[in-house]
Amino acid sequence: VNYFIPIEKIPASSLKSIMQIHTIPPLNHPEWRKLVHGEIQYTFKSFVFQLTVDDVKKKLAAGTLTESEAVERLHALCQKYKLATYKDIQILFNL
Amino acid sequence: MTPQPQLFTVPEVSEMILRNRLLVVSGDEHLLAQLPPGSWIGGTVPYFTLPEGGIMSQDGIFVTDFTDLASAFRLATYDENTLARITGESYENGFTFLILPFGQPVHFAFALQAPGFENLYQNPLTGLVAGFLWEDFGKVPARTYIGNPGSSETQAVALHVCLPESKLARMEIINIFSPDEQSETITFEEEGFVINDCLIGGKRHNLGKYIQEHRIDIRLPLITDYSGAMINVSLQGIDPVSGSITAGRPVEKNRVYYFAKPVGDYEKAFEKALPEVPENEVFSCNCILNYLHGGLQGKKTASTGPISFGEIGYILLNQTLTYLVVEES
Repeated sequence: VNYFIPIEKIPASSLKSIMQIHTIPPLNHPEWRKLVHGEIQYTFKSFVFQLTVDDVKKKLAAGTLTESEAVERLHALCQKYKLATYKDIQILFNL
Repeated sequence: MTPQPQLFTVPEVSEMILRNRLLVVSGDEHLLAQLPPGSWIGGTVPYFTLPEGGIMSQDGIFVTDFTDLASAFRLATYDENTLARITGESYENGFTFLILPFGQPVHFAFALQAPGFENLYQNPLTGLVAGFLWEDFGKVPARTYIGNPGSSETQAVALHVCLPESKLARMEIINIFSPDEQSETITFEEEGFVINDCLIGGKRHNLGKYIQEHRIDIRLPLITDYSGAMINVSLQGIDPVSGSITAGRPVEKNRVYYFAKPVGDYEKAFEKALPEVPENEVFSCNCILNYLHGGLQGKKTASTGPISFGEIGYILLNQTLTYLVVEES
């Protein structure tokens, strides 16, 4: 039995979903910057993202965190929890 | 395998410990004191949510078994001076289960310091605040245990669990409270557990006196928005003379708080918010104030576990149900 499915046999819609699940937009994507500055009001579904967004916004405003550090923190968390957060990422980045 | 959510006897839990199971246990002091040394931490808790409903019991121990999840583990104790190390001592991939003794300096230190812990959000920091029978408030101390004979009235205990690369821990909360649309905004100029003056709708008031004058139900928390996470501050009592209020977690400057909307039926509110046990849930706990104010004795909620005197979800939480899931990464 051949369990290997040639990529051309995977429906385009499924392929797109698979690719999107595993793709977190790069650090230089402008939406990250907007998110950490509160220019985008988006509520993540997961508790740890809510707390992290709140934390980086607060620290940016206080000047104890730079913009790139704030983006890196959020990006790293999205990378870690990419399966749990892919729906948020899809909406946020219009994927 | 984690045992079914039920209360166990001392011999049953002793047998698990002697089989080298990695446990977090909750129960009355006289039960936990009888357990043998081993890989376990515990805290005094006499209230539980079981599949058949909420219960007060001093005759059984609630057990959470992390043995089959952990690829490695560490047990640790912390006091108010060493607590900030906790996130640095967790594994690269895993979670930490923390038990704090209610009303002790380490409890207050956690509430105040946790938001500033280094790498706080790297791994879930979950757990509970150990308590006592509600009628014994102020008479009997909460206790924490790190195997035996390591019990303490003042120290926090923690279990750091390492997960294999294929697993990931995530924690979530259920808050059945929401801001009351009729509420004025409430802001504070000073941070801390003791609340006196504040600005309500931009005007200076003594919060305790305002609550009494407006007949606001003190069983309802103040509530604030952490970028989508609704965080409660429980109000534990008003000094009748000064109007000072003792809060269950510190209020913060630069946040806007609201009075919470009344919740009629707590059981239904939890059922609506969490209709079934979350997939891959490995631990859950609810708050003693939800249990008492919501009359949850004998009532069912989807999640089962100990009833805490404060919940730990990275930071100290009040009147909140927390749960931890471990899923494929």
